Amino acid sequence: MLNILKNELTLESSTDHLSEVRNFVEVNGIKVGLNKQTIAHISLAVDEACTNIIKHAYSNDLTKKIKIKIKTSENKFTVIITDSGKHFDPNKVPEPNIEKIQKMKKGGGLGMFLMKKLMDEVHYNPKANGNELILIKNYN
Amino acid sequence: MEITEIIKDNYTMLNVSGRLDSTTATDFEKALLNLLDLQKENVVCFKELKYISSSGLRVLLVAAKKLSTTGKKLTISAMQDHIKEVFDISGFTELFNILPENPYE
Repeated sequence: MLNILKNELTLESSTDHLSEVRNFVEVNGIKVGLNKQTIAHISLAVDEACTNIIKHAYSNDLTKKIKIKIKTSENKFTVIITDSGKHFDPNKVPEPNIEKIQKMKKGGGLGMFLMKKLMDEVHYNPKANGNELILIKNYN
Repeated sequence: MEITEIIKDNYTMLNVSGRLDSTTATDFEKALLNLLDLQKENVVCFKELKYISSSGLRVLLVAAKKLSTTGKKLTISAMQDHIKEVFDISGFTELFNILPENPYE
C-alpha cells in the first residue's frame, strides 16, 4: 500500500514498489524543471538506497515502512529517506574499484557505490530507532 | 521486464526489454545462467531495455564469473545511451565485451 502526498511518499518495504518510487522522483523532478538525465540519476540513486534498506536494514521484512520526502530549493534537489531498521551507514561500505568488482562474488557494495557517484552529496544520520539518509543533487 | 531467448546452432541470445531492477533481476539471472550452459557464444541484447540498477549489473557479474572458467563468451549489445551511462559510471564498460549494435540482428 502506498501513501503519496505531494512531496512525500510512504511505502511498504518491498522491491515491488520500486517503480512507484522512481515515478515519484520523476514527477517531482519534472515539477522543478530538471532535465531527463538528472532525473534518471536521482531515480536510480533513490532506487539503490531503498533496495539497500529493504534488503539490509529491514532484512526483507514486508511489514516495515520507508518514508521518502523531497525538498527542492533554488538549486538543490534533496531526497530524505527514513526507515526504522537496523543502523546502516552507507558511507562505511568500502567503495569497490574495478579490480575489486572483478574479484567480488556477488558485487557487494555496488548499489552504494553507484548512489554516491550519481548524487552530489550523501549524508547519513543514525536515529534512535532507524536511519535517515539524505541525498542531494545540485542543479542550475 | 520481458525476456526472449533465441537458441541457434552457434550462439544464444537473450533479448531483454523493460526494467531490470531488484524485482526482476532474479528472473534475468535464471534465464541468463541457463542459457550460458548451451553455447560458446552468448549475446545479451539490451536494445529494448529502459532501466537498469545495480541488481541487474550484479547478474552480469555472476554470469561473467561463471564464464571465466569455461572459455565461453558473453557480449552485451545495443544499449541505449542512458543504460550505457550506468555501465560507464559503475566501471562495467571495462569488464564486458560491449557492442553498439546486436551482431545477429
